[in-house]
Amino acid sequence: MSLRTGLALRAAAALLALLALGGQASASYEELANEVQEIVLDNGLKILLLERHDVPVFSFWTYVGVGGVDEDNGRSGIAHMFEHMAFKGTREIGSLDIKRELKALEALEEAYAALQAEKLKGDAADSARLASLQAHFEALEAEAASLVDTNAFGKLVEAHGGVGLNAMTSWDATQYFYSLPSNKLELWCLLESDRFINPVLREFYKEKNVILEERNMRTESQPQGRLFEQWVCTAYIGHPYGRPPIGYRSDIELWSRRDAEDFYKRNYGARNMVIAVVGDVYRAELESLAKKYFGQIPPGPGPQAIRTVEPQQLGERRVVIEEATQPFMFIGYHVPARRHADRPAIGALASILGEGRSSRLYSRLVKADQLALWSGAFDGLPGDRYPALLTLIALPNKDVKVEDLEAAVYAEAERIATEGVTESELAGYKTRARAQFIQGLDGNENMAGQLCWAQMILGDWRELFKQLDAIAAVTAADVQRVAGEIFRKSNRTVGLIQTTAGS
Amino acid sequence: MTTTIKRTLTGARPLLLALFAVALLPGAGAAAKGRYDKVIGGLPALRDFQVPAVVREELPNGMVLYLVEDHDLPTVRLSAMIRAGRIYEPGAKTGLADLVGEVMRTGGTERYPGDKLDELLENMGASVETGMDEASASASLRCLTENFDEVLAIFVDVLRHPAFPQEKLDLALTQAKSGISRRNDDASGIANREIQKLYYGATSPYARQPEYDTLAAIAQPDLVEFHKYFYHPNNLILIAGGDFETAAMKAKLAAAFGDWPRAETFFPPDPLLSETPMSVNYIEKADVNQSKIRMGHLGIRWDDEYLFPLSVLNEILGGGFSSRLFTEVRSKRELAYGVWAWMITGNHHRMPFTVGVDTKSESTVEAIQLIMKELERVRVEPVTVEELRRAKEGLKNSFVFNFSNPFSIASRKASYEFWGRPADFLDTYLAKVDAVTAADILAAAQARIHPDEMAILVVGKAEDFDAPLSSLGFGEASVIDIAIPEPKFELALPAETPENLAAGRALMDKAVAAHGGARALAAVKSLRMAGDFAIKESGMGPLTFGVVQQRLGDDRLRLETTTPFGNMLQVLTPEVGWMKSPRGKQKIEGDDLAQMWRSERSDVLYLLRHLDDYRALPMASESCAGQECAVVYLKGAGDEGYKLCLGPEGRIHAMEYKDQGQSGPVINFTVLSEYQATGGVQLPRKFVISQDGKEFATMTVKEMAVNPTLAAALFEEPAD
Repeated sequence: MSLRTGLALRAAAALLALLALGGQASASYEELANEVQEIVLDNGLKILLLERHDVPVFSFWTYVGVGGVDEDNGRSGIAHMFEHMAFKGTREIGSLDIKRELKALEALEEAYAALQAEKLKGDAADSARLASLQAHFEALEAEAASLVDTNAFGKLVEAHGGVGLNAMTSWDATQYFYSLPSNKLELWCLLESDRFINPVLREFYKEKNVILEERNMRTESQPQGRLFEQWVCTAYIGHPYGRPPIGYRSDIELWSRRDAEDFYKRNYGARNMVIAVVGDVYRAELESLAKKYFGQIPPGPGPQAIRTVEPQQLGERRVVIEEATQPFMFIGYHVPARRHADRPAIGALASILGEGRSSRLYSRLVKADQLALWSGAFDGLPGDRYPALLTLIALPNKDVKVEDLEAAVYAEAERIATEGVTESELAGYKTRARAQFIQGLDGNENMAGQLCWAQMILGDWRELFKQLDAIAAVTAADVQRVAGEIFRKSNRTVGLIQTTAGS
Repeated sequence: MTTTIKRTLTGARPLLLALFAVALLPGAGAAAKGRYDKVIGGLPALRDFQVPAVVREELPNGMVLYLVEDHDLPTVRLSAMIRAGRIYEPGAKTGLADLVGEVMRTGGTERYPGDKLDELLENMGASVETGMDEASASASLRCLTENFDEVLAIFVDVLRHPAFPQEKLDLALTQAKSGISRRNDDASGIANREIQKLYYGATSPYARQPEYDTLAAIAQPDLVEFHKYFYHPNNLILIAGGDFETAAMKAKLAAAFGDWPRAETFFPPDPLLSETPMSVNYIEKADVNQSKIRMGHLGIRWDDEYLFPLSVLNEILGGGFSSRLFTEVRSKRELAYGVWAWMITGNHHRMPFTVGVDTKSESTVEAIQLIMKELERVRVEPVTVEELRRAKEGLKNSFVFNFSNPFSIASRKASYEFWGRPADFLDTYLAKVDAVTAADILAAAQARIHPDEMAILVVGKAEDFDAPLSSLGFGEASVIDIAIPEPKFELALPAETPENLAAGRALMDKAVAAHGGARALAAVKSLRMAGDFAIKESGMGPLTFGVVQQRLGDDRLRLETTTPFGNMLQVLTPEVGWMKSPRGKQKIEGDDLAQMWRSERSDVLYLLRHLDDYRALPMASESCAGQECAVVYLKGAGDEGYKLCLGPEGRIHAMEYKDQGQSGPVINFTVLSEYQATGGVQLPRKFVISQDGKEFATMTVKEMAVNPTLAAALFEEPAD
């Protein structure tokens, strides 16, 4: 595209922006759906762009359709580990001498393999050999570390004005995001493509310890974290939704860099990624840069389909942790996956039952009977790709027995199954859903995340804007029917913290 | 290539960042050549852009408005900042301000009661919320444009006329008590709460926590009073942003708030602050494998002379991937997932400089020592050229994000006005950051960062630590006991159902009969009583005072006490009281007077004559001080209540209630005996009094006269 055309395009866009600021008729969010643009590269990568030129900033969201569910048994948490590795730089950034560093990392890997092999002999291990292998490993680790330009990736992003640099790994997906001033567009294209084309998984064995600290913080040293992990693992006996994305401690300790590399090579790929860009970016420029940079991401085979379908739960399951902390309760009921036709009705059910102060659970358990300090319900755990859990949470007030609270929760849930919901409640839910949807479009980062989620989970970003139609079509009869199907004793998994006497 | 928008329609001014856009940034790293350097070298400067116009308006009653239009979405947001806060609640009622913030919304108003409000708002997908902070309170509104008028009416009513209904206060108190019972479950929560007490002092309004007893002292009138005292238009700044026309919104807000009368509020002086002394502190948490470490001391407010060098130092020392702590503690030594250091800029008062790290128990001392080393380093070594340049570039390049959202731009301006910051603070920000040198940072660190005068707190499991905390070199760690103080007086009362109230009243009617009957009790117009008050164990051994008490009606009291150290006289009327002692004469007013009258109500004669002021609730029978008793609880306003044990003859055999002791609230348990009939009324002659379960004193009545003639002068202000 010629310079002149580019200038003309920008001038036109600026003029449009100017007009928009001039106080015209109220904004209509429905037009946003028409403003989202798609760029599809030859390698299958889809880039979604929503132009917003008020302020010279943009946010992006990279959604990789690979998460905890795609891990092998014995290597839980490796998807999350790769997410950490994606901040460690590439061949071109983060190294003081890439040739030497790669050699050192190879040698380190062999030393680790030898060390692990000896360790796995358990009592039969030769302690002298073990000590010598350990020393050798540490020496090689130190050598590799000396060739690292620590945190070069993060430092570069921050120096160029990047804010909100972060990422997250869930059962379903790995997501990367931050925001930059819009004059940094090409730098972002380089950084974001490079990290998925040429990652160097440096400082791997150190980072294992960081992950262990993260596990300590989120799961092991927090009462609700402990309960949550045990509970979700009990709700799923076959499907990998029952495995925590942070990984089991013993798996983490045995990871090798090769495991993470293999995982990345097998699962990451342009065909299984979508990138959304929202902000002061013009299509023509983005398209040209995208072809140059993101076009190099290998298409990838993508993850294998998950074979196991969670078998139907035939009886109530319970996890009761007795400890000195205050009582807490998770109750999960199996529901179909996000794209199932019943999910809009289930969303209505969850909201009427447990969203907000006027919801059934809050009104009865918190306000009227004062059994619960808080109670709520939501659908969306653990994820959206596979059948999930409609989750109810309740915390008893001081001196309330958790059994009484549990019974009261079931009474409210089952009341919807027997009596249904009122038209007023359903209408209120639909209005609420619409308002929340509109408010969710606020902010570049939010918008980018939503577009990616819709593209990868619903199958098409346009479905994001059609969800409200599906919600509008839900009837009270639908809600009552799904309540009857879901709220059965045999369908529930209960996780409780019970306070030990004398605490 | 830049696009500069010079023409404006709304009066917005273009923001010239070009001056500070940096074309030449350091390259990608020492060894990276090629692509990164090339791309970075070719990046354009940031283009100019318009900042949305924010309009400020002041209503005649002193309310200040900040308005900004934003037509991207059909939504409207309002946010109010009110001059109120936790620091204005009395210490004995810690928790009051938060209850106001909570119940203002949950209780709704007369026109919009709480539960109706919940339904109404949630069915519109709208929200109105209220809150409380240390030195400010908040109220907010969010809705779709189409609902604005309706939601505005709600917002105005909640701000101006909250009802604070008793049932919603009770709910909030129940929730607050549950919150207290849970506050030691999570190690992070403990660490973040307790470190504030170390920074500010445990009783400081900036750090203190509600307890069961402080909550018990709060009554509904306190909330009404708090709101009435602080919530005035001249104490309030309102921000409005969203899908509206400025002129129309101005008119709506003026119509909604214009007739709200202004009122002057006396704000007491702010709590005094003193520097944090050096201390190492430990809190045991047995169910963790990770220590939560928090350390630091009081820091700065926005008007500190070192603000800008410290802002740059924040980036270098403890913010984000670039920081020294992230690099040293996390990346290089993998001791933590979470580590940070931050000099918070206080708006109202000096906020802390705080360092935090969560590390496995076995690396607790190592992590602390590493951090101490880094804190000492910034005081001794200037930061490197590279660090300085990168930190400044980061701050300057990310500056544009201050303008990414019209509402936040208006909010920030309002906040500057609220806290007294100059309105042009942000205008000079970039230049001031740019001017910071390594020498400036060194001077700032030496002035404001003191690793030898700070509080270190570790919440964790000491038996797993790599070394004892004493090895840090500051002596033995102080062990902080965070056991939640039990409420001194909390009974599980039966519900106030009509049946229960009737049964309770029936029991009290029997007691009235056993004491002589309602008519005889009502016929007592005055009383004179003399006797001995023998304290079992005072600070000076057993002591006995002579006591003469005279009462006229229920609202005049005269108490003469004869002690070995001098005589004391107390005269009480409902409006004022006096106390005369060898040290002189003192007036008794306000809360003190109210407390003394309350003590007087814990009297057999008074209670039996004023049963209509209380709700009587029956409780399980008890064996009480040697007698099988029926038990009734007389519940008054707030936390006033009396547990009465009625003996076999129906008379009051014992009483238990919350009282004011020498050093705070105590549970008073009094056994009443040696009943005699005087003037048709059965009254006890012996009172054995215990406080908090320990026998305290015995009152023995030697003379009792019912309906003596008492001169009015006895109940006037005593002579000097």
